[in-house]
Amino acid sequence: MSQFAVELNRLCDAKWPGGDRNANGQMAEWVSQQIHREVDRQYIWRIRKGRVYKVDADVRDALCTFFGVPADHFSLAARRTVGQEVEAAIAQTGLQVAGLRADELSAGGRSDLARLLREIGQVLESEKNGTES
Amino acid sequence: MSSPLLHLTTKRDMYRLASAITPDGEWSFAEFERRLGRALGGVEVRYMELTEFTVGDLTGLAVWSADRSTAIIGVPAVASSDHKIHIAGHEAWHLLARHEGCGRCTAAEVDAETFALRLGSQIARRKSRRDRQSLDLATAFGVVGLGA
Repeated sequence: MSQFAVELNRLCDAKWPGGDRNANGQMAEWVSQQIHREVDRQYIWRIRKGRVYKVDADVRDALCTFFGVPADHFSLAARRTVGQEVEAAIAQTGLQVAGLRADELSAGGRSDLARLLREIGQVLESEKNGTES
Repeated sequence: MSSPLLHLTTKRDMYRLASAITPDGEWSFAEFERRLGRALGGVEVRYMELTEFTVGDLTGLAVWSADRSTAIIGVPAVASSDHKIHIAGHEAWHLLARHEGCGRCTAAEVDAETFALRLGSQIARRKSRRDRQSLDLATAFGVVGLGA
C-alpha cells in the first residue's frame, strides 16, 4: 500500500474513530467542490486501498483542507515514515551505512535503502547459519 | 580496528589506493575484495549484487557490519559489468575514507566518483600493459602476423 494511502487511512481513523459508512462520500463531495470537477466516492475508496498510483496534486490539496492539515502533510508524513523504515532496517540488521551512490534520495529511494539493508542482512544471516539465501 | 588509512586527503592517496586495489590480472571481484580488505587494514570485504534497487536514485551502497569486521559493497544486479566495477570503486572510496551515514556530502561524492574513475584508469592501464607483454612474447616467438 502507498504511503499516501496509509496516511489517508490514519487521518480517517482519527476523524471517524468508529468508522463512518459515508466517509468516502463526504471526502469526495468536498474534493469535487474544491477542484471544480467530479470526484466520486469510488475514487476515494481506490485511493484508500492504495490502488491509485499517483494522486493528483489538486485532489491531495483538497484532502488536506478537508482534514485541516497543512498542504505538505502527506509529503512530510511519507518522509517521516520512510525515515523510520530506514532506521528500523538499521536497527534490525545492525548494519552501518558508510556511503551511498545516489542523488538526493526520494521516498522511494529511502524505501529501497531499507530493503537493501534487509537484503544484505538476510544474506549475512543465512551465511552465518550455513544456509543459502 | 585501526587502519593506517584514516586520513586520506591527497590525490596521491587516491592513485596509490586505486593501484593497490586493482587486480594485476583480469578483473576479478574476489581479488578486489581481498585487496580492498587489505587496504582497509585487514577487514573482510564482501561484494554483493543486490536486487532491491528499484527506484533508480540509489545505485550503490557501502555498509559496515555491526562489529565493523566486515565491509559490504552492494551494487545493482542488473547493472552492466563495467558499471558494477565503477560503482564498486565509488563505494570503496566511502569505506577507505571512513565516511559515515546516509547524509549527502557533495565533496565526499565528488571524491568517490574521482576515485572510481582512477580505478577505471588503473584497470585500463594494466590491461594495456598485459596486451603489450602478450604482443612482445608473440613477437619474440614469431607468431605475430601468421594468422592475418
